[in-house]
Amino acid sequence: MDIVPQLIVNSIIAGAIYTMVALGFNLIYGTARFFDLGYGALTAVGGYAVFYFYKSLGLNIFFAIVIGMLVSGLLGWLLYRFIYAPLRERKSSSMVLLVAALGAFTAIQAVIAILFTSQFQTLSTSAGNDHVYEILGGVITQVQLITLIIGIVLMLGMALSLKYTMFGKAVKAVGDDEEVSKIVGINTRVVIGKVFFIGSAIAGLAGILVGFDTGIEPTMGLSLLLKGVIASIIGGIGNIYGGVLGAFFLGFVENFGIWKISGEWKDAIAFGVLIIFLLFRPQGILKR
Amino acid sequence: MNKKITWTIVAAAVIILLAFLMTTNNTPHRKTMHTIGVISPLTGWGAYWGEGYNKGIALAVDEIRAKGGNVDVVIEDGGTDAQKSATAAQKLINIDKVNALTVEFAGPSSSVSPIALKAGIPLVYDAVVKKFVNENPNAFKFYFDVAKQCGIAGDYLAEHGSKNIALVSINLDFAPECQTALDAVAIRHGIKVTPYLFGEDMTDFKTTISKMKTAGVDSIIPVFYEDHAVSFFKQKGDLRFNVPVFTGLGIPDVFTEKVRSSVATSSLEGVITFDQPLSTEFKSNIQKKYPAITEKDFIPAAYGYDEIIYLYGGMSKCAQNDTSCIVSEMKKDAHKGALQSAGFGDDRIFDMDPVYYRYSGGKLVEFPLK
Amino acid sequence: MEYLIHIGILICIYGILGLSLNLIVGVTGLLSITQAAFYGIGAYATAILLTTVGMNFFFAVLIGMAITAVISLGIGFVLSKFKDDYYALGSFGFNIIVYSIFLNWQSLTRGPLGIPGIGRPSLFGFTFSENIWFLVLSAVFLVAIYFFCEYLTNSSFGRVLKGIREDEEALRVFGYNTLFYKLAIFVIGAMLASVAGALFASYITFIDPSTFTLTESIFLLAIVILGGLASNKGAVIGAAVLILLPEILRFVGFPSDIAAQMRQVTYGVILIVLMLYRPQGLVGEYKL
Repeated sequence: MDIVPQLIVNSIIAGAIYTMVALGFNLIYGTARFFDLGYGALTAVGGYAVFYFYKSLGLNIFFAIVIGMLVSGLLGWLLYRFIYAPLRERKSSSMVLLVAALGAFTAIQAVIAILFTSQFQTLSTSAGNDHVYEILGGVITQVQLITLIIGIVLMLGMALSLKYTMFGKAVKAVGDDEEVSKIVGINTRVVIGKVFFIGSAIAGLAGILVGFDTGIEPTMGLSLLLKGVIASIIGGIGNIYGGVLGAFFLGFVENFGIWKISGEWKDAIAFGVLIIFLLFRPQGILKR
Repeated sequence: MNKKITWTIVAAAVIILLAFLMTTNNTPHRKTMHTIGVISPLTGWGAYWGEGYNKGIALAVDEIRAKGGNVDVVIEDGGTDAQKSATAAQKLINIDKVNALTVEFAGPSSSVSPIALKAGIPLVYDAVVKKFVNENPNAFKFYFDVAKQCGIAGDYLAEHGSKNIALVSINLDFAPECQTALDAVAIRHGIKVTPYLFGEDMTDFKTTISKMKTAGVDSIIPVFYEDHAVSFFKQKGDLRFNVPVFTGLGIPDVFTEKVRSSVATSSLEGVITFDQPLSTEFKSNIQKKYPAITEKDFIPAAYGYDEIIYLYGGMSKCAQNDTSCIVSEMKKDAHKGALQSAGFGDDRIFDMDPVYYRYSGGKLVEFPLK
Repeated sequence: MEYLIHIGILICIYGILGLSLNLIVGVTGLLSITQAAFYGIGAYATAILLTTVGMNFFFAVLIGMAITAVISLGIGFVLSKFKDDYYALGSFGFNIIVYSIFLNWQSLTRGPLGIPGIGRPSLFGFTFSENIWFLVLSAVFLVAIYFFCEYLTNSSFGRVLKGIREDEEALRVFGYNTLFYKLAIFVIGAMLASVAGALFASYITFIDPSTFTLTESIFLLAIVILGGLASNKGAVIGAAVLILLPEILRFVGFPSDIAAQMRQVTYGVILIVLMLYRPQGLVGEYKL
């Protein structure tokens, strides 16, 4: 059955994108402990920033990508600094944060639509003359391969810096117990702020890569976010490797689901898997 | 107690302001003008249409007024949402006192058509499904008929050797219509037709394409929009699945300029699609008014333009709110507007004979089907 | 005038939805983001019964409530295994699964075609085809449900629910079967939402799956939070504000091509501002 190798490759490609989203989301959730719906809109922000700087202004592609990540990182940090941090300091419940994040998501999405119209845009300029490689009997394009590599590099980078750098240890401490870290002298506000910046920059990168592979539109954020959330939970929330594992697992389940059942049920399958995990293994595949 | 009083005052002020805004008639000449209410998709996934559509409407209004006509257009957002459009319709009919309505997409048309019927005003709707002309005697239909186009596509592919057609479609209300037409094709020619449906936010067709490959699909009829088209054609090319494609929706929806410039020419070779050619006069006029207009906006603008011109054409020949007069005038109107159609005719369906194109060597070449 | 009547009907329907969700989220503290699913089940049950067998609207409402009760019992039971954020996520999942069923189980729901031609209610020969009478009908339903909710929240049953919200462990120690209470209120809330769905289906005379999405559930949550958790009055006021707000904004002079998006921005910003400066909602009983 020669469809299986291609299915496997498709699953890996899908997993690569979910990995990017899950990495940033997992980092933020693991540290600040709330579901940042606004995070979803930041993928679109990154994509559109690159669209503006690369396609409209004609800047060098790497420059544009870096700027794109900076813009989404900065916006994520601003959201934290002016909205989430004050709310958290008041010990607001997760519901309030959720609604505030929802407001942020709605507003950001609409602003992007005003600035760039709701049209679907592509980032690549080469009219699809992408290099195509054959791996394990399946086909993968250059952009998809780059996404995969970046995803793995990021995962390793994050895991290593969390373990070995001072900042990484501070992040872990805050994630484990915020109160105690404050007592120990960690400036939790600054640490979480930086986490938001990094996580949001990663989200922006995910949006940029999706833009190069297929394209961007203002509403792309919610679906990406939900998949990232599912991946994080299945894999083990708060665990870097877990998010990645969950992402690839989700990619596999979705693609094999489409093959065996059919395309319309893709979202239902993804969430069905989530619920099964929540029921039988809520901590995810890998522990924190 | 102080806070409660403040909030009550604020609430009362808001309510008074609201009542004032909603009941004062803001434009003094409204009663002598013909007012058309436009329910345009400005938010949501249909917004790609609304932006160009509004431009064509603005051009039509300019031209009517330049000739001394008396028309006003009020635009409200209906999204692609039946409820939002229903609310917009209520506002337009009762606050702005419009004398006619236009609406886009099938979902909004479903909820607006009964409202327009109840209010007794003419309705022009732009959707790929036919039914509203049957249910609403004051309704006029623009746009192609997806069932008809899918039938033509299916017949063509079958007559040229296809034995296993795949319908690749978003799961919106035109999918069942296309499916029914293709089921008839399957019976007529004794071939196989399989639907492959997916949700509106799908970007990854790779597994579906692999599935089709394994199933021995030898031709495809896609019914989706430009964003899906970019991904689909790219991935189809990447996976080397080179079977003939005959689109079920036309160029303005699925085979746009963006698709043609974003996907490798080799992946698009041989695609057959269709469109309504636009009048060159309209094209130059809309470009004069909107120098920055891009090609993707031409088609929706043409629809907006023609809808207003045809509506106003009927309304100006009749007393205000004489709907049966307007309806019969619109049926008779056979002028060739931006879309170069011969008008509505008695069945109140805009007569459109599409021109078919084949994409070959990076260009759209006219392609007579027979 | 008809426009105000139309808005009035929408406020009644969303008021009922707000009340139903408030029982679950506000009174009992269960962060459920799937109310649109039950709204939809009520709408579809009514639509199918009215269009296929011409059943009387009021019987259809009862049958719809029964069907919703059974389904919500199952969903509520699964959800009861989760806590806090996971509860919310699991509920997301169920919303998406139910929506997929509305969209893809075409032989039952006609899928994306939706169900047109739903009749207006009739009682002893009188049909509510004039909108003003439908408004009266909806208002009657709203008032009845409001008093029911008031009675419920002020009763001893309601006190147990509030206790569950404050400290479930303590109640269990005292011997209360908290699972029973949580399931009961979830089912009651779902049944009330299905009544709103029935009204909606009959009023617009057409339904399709696009009304019953996750986004709608989030909107309902915003209504409850805005009005103030655990306040029945607040739920209705929240509904009124969030329905009126976009209508009022229509009359603020945004340039027409970006007017719709500007309204979205305003809506998002208002949510954020409210969460920052008045998280107890407009008439909230307790501060989060």
